Amino acid sequence: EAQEVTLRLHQMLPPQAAIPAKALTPWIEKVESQSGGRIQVEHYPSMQLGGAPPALYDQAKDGVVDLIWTVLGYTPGRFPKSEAFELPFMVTTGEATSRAFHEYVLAHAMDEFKDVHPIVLHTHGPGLLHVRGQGVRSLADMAGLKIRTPTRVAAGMLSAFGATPIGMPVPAVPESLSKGVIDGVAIPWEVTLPLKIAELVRTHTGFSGRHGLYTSTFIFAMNRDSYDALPADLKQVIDDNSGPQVAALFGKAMDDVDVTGREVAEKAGNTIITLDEAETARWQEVARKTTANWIAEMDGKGIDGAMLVEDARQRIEKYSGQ
Amino acid sequence: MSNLELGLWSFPILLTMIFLRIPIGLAMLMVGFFGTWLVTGSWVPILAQMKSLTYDTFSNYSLSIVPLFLLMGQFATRGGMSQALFKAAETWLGHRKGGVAMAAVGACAGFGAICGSSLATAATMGQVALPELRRYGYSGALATGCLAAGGTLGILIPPSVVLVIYAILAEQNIIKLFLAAMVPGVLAALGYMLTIAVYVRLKPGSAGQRERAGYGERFTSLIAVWPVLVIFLLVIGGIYAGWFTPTEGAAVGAAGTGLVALVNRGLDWRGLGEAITGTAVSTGMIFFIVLGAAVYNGFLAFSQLPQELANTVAGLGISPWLVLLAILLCYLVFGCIMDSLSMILLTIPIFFPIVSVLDFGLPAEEMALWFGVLVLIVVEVGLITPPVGMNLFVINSMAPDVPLVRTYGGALPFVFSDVIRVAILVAFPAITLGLVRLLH
Amino acid sequence: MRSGLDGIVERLAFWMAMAGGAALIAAVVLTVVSIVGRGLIFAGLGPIPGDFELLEAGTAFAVLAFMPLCQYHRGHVTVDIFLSRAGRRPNALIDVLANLLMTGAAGVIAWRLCLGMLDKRSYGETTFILQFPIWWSYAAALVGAVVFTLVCAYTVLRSLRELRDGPPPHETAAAA
Ligand code: NA
Ligand code: NA
Repeated sequence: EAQEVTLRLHQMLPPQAAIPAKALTPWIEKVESQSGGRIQVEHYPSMQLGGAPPALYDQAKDGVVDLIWTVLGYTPGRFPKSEAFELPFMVTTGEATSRAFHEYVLAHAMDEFKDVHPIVLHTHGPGLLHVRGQGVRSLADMAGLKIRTPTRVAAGMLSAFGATPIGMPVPAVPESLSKGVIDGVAIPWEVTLPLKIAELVRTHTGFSGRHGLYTSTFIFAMNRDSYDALPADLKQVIDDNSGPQVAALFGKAMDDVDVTGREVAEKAGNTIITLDEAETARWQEVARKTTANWIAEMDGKGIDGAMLVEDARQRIEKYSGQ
Repeated sequence: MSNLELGLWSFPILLTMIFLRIPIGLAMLMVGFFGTWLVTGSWVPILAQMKSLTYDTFSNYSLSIVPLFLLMGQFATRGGMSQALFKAAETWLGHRKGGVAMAAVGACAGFGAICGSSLATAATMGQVALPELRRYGYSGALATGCLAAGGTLGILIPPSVVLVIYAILAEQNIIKLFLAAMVPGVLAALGYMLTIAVYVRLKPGSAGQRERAGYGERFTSLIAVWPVLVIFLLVIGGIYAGWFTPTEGAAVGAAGTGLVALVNRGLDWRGLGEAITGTAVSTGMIFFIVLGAAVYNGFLAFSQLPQELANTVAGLGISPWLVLLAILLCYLVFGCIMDSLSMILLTIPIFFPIVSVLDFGLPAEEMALWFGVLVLIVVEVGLITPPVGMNLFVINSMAPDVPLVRTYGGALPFVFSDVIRVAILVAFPAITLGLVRLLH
Repeated sequence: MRSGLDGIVERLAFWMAMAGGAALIAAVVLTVVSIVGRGLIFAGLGPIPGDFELLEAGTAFAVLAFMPLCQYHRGHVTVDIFLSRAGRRPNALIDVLANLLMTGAAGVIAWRLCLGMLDKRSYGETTFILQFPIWWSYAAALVGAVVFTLVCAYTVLRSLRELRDGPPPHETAAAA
């Protein structure tokens, strides 16, 4: 059968990065083959079609392109309910947390994504602290450190730990870190690879137990009209490649590359610090304040923050148990 | 018409508009706007994109370095730094054959170290040095030619607005690009001085001589230059030492030159107003082109022309060196009629993917740095090649008694020296990359 | 020297640029203070929170505030080599056309920026650190875009007048 539909996919990372290479490309191949070649996807990496990364979500909403993949945290304040997953010490693995996140959105937060057709909502694996100099071995070491913050929520968390959160654009991170304009970054292992963080710092700090410090949330979404315009059988192909199970694959792609990121740091001879249970408990104690603040903020918006946090926890727990 | 054909057709249409004297940024914006409409078959994408594109482009952190460097150059002029530089260079070099012209080039190089723009350097140093050159009996051709060429040092010696734009388009590290441009920039200044030395020997009547200045005068003149030196070391040194990001460095430079101007009483309310006006007109001009190019390049990507072209060229199996030569020649030809920034914005999205897939025996990042510096030089040559060379116009407008043709003639030897330098840098990438390898 | 409409537009463009210059200089001061604070963390000081996002917002406003003056002073880059011998009237005609197109472009820029601002307001989007609403920055930039459109419309009138009367004797294009 002849090709019927061409979909343009736009996103901000180069094609060899984890999600483009290990999640989006396989997704494209599946959709193209399951549609019998009737769907063709043109992949435009690295913001080739123009605009800044925060504009990606609107590009899907407004129909600039048909498909986008982006970080929800690029537009702080726009997806408040999704932030429950960005709170400290929620994330376990990317795979489990992603599955939980997609289900959670289906249950509570679809109103935040009503103007697009979500395909996958996912998270990355546990975020760590990558810090210059002596590194972070206890909570006290955080005092006065300038840490580039990945999300609005993490900015509050870093402040609570005594650090100074810096809201710096990603491209400025490697040179700022190499020169000490900032002391460190909070990112998962996977993101240390493209930014070459292992060459810029000597220590990486993670935590005991199953929960990582923080995570970021992502969406892979389709323009509503593009989806609605598909014939029923092609809609089915998209549907078959959407939802929590697919989200788990996206999260797993990140987990897999996290392993590589850690290996690179080990090979570079860097010190990987895992704070012991007592120390981790101290951080978690402080971080409770961030969660409480967030719940209060949500209550101010008429959102039941406490319920959302509890529900998010239970869903993550459900998939992390095995 | 296929999308690829639309992409190809956009070039003749764009060039026709530009040759009809439509502002270059406007032409790119319009062709990109209507082109995106045609390629996507709908008004929705381009109109939706325009909702955030303007703000996102103008608030880009790396680009915000541009108005800051422009403001820094304005303050430097107000603070009398251009005079001080020329005076110092002149007392040291003026007594040689062609020495005052060499001093002008040297002062341009010094000013280029604190100014990110060629036109600003040409205009500033022209005002200071042109009357002096004429006073010492330099011919109109040599005086205007050497200053127009010297003006290009504003960009060739970092910091450099064109390099910032290239860094953003090619996703390269700005600091490493500045480092890579350093040695070629100094070579440019030395090459221009050598050109002058040859020129005055071939045409002895074209230059007068100044009496030798005593060492007392020489060292006194150096004292007046210290603010330039301090600010250059603070900005460039601070960026490399990691006290601040390049954008922050530009802010520090603007603050520093502003303070010097204030102390030297060059910055009363009227002077401040003029500095802002000058910054405003240049910034408006540059950012309108940047916006137009953003729209146009988005359209090109939609048409898939750059990717296809890169694949085609890679598939032809021509020697990478031949492709590079063709690209550099392309810039030289276009430079005769286009300005440097428009050329970079227009062509890098097409040429860079092509060059990236070629093998020059260099790692990807080094290739990008090396190519960036080569492109930087060939587009800057465009500022001093006839018929359209902005630096030629700027300097010539300050010398009403010199016909434009004489200025064209006076600049040609410097074009020649540029071409030789490019050939050397192409043959020996290590000259460009050495400093980067050493410090990283 | 200038009276009536010319004077009003010139003052409008000038003061818009001054507002942009003030924002740019404020961004310079803020950045320098922030760098110093960052260097003195050990002494209990620190960088100004949100320095990066303030610089970005300030530059966006400044750039759009500079556009009207650039248009007023004919600061945009053109290639005049092919038309330089075409005589006065064809060139004046091109000026009218170019200014008309520029007005259209400026109008579209302002119109879309305004819609973008309304979008950002309805989303409740904020910055990372200071968490002030993004639409404030859009609104500031919009002022420059609107003035830019007005000045462009004026330059259409000016170029029509020059088509009729020839250029004013003492006016020269500002070298950018
Ligand atoms: Na320079
Ligand atoms: Na030229």
